[in-house]
Amino acid sequence: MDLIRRSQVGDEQAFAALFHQYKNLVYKTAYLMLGDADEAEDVLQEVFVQVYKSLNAYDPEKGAFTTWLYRITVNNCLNWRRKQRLPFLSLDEAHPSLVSRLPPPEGRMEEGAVWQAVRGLSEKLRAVVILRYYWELSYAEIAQILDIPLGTVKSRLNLALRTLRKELEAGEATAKTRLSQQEV
Amino acid sequence: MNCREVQERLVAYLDDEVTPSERALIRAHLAECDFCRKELAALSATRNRVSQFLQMKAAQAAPSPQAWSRLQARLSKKAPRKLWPQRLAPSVWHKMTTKGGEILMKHKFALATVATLVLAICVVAFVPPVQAQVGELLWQWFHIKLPGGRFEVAISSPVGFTPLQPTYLPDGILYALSGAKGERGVLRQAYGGEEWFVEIVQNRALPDKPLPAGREVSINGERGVLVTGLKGKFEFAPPIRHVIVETEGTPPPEAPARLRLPTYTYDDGKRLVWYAGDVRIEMLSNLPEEEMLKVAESLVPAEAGEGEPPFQPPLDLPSGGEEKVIETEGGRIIIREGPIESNP
Repeated sequence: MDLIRRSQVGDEQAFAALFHQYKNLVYKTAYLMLGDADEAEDVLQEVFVQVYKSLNAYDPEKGAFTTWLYRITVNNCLNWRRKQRLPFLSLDEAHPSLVSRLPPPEGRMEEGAVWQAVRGLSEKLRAVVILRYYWELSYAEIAQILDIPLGTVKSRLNLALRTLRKELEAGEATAKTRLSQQEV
Repeated sequence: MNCREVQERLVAYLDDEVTPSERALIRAHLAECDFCRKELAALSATRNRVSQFLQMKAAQAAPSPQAWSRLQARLSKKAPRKLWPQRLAPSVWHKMTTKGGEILMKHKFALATVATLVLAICVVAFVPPVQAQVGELLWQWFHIKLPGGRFEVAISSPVGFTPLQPTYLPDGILYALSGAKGERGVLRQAYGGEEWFVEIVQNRALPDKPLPAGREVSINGERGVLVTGLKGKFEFAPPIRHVIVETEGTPPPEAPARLRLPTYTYDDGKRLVWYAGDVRIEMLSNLPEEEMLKVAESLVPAEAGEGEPPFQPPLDLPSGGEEKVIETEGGRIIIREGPIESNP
């Protein structure tokens, strides 16, 4: 709290310390949201420029600093693609023909499948999944960060987890089929 | 609960985000429903798999070592943020008394420094007391509105002129000082940042004193003289008897002795002198010439307060080696009799 108060009155050293204390929170959230290290780096910059400019608007009585920071981060990620005005297509999604037909090593397969499933979620669902299952925040905290009712957090997580389950099960079925075809 | 109602709540149930009564109802349903039990197991497996994956994925992710320097470079291009957010500001009135008279100052903001000192406001008052003559003090008081902050000054006698105040100051102001001295009314203000200072003295005591020799300049159409190449040392601390220091949080016990008010050593100082009516204005600064002229041209009469100044009861000022410590919302105020040591 002291760092925040000192940063609010223009203490640059305090702001530097604030950055280093919270950079991982912002970066990791952005990385999981966007799936790209360079973009996460850019979001980190945008978020802290915004924090710097609007730190005086942060009111500790209205909520924890981290809540405010998560909100800025998630909003930046949600707006990121729109701001970049670039269609987002990963190589795998854009050109299925370029994906190796051979199954990747087991660890990579697990990583690829879950990552693809998470990336396949809508941004809103992905945000609740990351806040809950990576940061382990409570539903109430998530509701505050995203400024949505508690019931909406519940329904989004319910939908997200069911979607992930469906995608992962479908992926496993496909992998099994591929393996059995190769065995033949 | 039926299957549909349980299915809607299964993820929240897994996350331990249902009410105790919901939990009991879900448990009762699960004990009897094979389908919902299987659903729960499948969702639990997915949840664990996703959670483990996210932990693993994020563990490898870290911002680049250049992230901070990149941010610094960007921020230096942005317009500076205003200091002194009003809602953080402590609102404290101080009454300073000296042998000569009284002056009151209210500061409503915290002036930040990069070190531990947040605020150092020094006041000196040699305004002749009128209390003895009229039975009660007469007050003139003014709002001083600086870029980003404000304070009020009240002077305990009819000084007879309105203080001028700058509406422009360079970025990074850290210190503000205001005081009155002289039997015929001299008002002194000083503002300072890490590297720069500007002192503004308004003086009615010297209505006929000629301007010094120097280069002629125009300040809002008035003839002024600029003297450059001055060498010297400007101490922010005035020769005062009392000082109020407010620090952020509780300072260490030795803080008063280690009080660091800035001293600026300059070898290209400038003095700018001109008259506004019968008030002689002298500015001393180590700012570049154009910045100094900009401050000079930004001077406007301070807004007069109406009615009685809203001060608190006077403080009992300590004398001798005593100190008075007052805890306030914004920090601790230490008052002790001067002279103070600047930059010991």
